[in-house]
Amino acid sequence: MVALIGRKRAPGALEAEIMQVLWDRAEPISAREVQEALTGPEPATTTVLTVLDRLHKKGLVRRCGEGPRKVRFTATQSGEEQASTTMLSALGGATDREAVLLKFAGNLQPDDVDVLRRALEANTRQRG
Amino acid sequence: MPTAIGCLVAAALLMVLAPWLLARGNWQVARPRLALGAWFTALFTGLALVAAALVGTVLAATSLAVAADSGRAGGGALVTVVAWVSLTGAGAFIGLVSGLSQPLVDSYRRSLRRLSPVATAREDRGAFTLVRFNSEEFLAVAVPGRRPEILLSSALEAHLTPEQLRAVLAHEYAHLRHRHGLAVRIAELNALCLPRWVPAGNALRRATLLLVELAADDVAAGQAGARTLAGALSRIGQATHDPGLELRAARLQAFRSDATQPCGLPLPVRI
Repeated sequence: MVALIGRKRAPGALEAEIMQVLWDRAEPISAREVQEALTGPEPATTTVLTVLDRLHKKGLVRRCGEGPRKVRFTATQSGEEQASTTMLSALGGATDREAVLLKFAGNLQPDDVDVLRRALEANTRQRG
Repeated sequence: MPTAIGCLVAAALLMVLAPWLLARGNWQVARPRLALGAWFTALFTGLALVAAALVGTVLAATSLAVAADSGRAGGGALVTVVAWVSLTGAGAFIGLVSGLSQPLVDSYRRSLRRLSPVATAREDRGAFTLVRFNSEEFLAVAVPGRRPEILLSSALEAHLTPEQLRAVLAHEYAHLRHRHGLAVRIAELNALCLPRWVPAGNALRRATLLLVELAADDVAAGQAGARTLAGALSRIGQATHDPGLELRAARLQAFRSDATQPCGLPLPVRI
């Protein structure tokens, strides 16, 4: 699941790994525990804290704890809930800079619908 | 050298004229596989012309350099400069393609990674793995690759009759068998490589996305029956209020007739 290119992680892979670690734990854990639970090349503690902060801003991670040195982290949604949300957003449509999935329904743009409509109207006129 | 210039001019003309010519009329809606072939023939002809221009320039520079060494010709500096500029351009193009293809691959992998955690069942059907997942959306997705998959949502399975569901699977299987995923990736990469003000890039991408769906409809209609597939399209179209699906159903009824008997479903699709 984790895309690694040599010793470097692919963009976004560390976020995904950290979310997986948090989903695997029932209780909130510290950044140090997150760091130790990661597999593959070990990132610096500051990197883990930066990513946790980014995830917190995205609303995916909740911070708890009394002081700055005792702060702990937990996921706001379960893995299944998050997967459903992201899956639907992934399938909901792609911009012209994103790869398109071969879906049965929903890949046609309004212009394509017009092309189809014009062709059907022309076919009807020819037959009529 | 004149040959190389001729090739470049022909490539430029093809890039302008091909989208204009191929998008004219309604024939591509009636013959999507032919249209898809025509679009990609134009693309590869254009690329071959550019490659021929590059090779021609380099050969002209080499022969001039040899002639200059043996005292038979002088000059040729302009041709040599043009050859180096062409080679640099080719290098930059290769760099651009490889640089742009990685984000596309990453984007595709991200979408697939998001899907796998919610799969409820995986069934090996030989030519592909049928992956069922819980969702209230009407979704069927073909995932090409070394281990191809067809993803099927619980809502779609519940909403369609078994015959209609088989027709949908035949449609998705047609995407896999006819390498529509590769065609879409090439069209996307072409659109990313060309500047946005060049209409050829987006025109090929749009045409490919439409034509692969219509071509897969035609294959599935031939196997499962046009009426069955049209029924599936219409049913999902009514539930999702997607006019595109209703029009695809109407197209099958207008351009294909059930007088020709369906040729039967491929083995992996029979569920």
